[in-house]
Amino acid sequence: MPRLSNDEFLAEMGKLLRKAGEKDNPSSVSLTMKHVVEEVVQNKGKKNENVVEEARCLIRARSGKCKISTVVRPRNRVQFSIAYSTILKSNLKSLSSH
Amino acid sequence: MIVYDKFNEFYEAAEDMYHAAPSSTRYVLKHTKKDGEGAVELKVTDNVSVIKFRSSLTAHLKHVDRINTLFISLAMEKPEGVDAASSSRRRRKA
Repeated sequence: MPRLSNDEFLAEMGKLLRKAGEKDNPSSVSLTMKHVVEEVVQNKGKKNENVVEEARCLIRARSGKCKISTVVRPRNRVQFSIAYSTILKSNLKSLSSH
Repeated sequence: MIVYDKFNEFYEAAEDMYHAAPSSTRYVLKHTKKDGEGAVELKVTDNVSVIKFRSSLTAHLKHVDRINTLFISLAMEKPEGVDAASSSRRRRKA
């Protein structure tokens, strides 16, 4: 499962959602969110180098055999949330309006 | 497995489940499209219990948005009981 950058992931996720339900494509897409803790090295190469644990959000997308994932860092949270919700909204329009 | 009819009840249950077990709780959005009609299933599980909310209404898109925002924010919070001092440690110089 390749770990993509946030922008690459969003582009791929958009493709998976658009293709879902079309001929010869899987009919569903699953998006999973999970809390992960990863280590970050601060002041790398300097005297006061130290390792800090940072809470991040792991997001996976799966459609048939295609699996992709990305990790969102707190500093990219707002930017990612906006882009993520825009892509979802534009691709979930097939829901019934009744 | 509990399937909720009301979104607000599902939302509160999801939040409680996450706070009880942050590292093992995950949220899954499953979008299914068949014959041009779409449906969404929201699932939150901690590997012990499962809660779900299903919808095929465009009006519920704002609910999807709400729970996405909630989980992105929750995932970036430090789990309770881990204070800053214990989560940071100095790397030993070689």
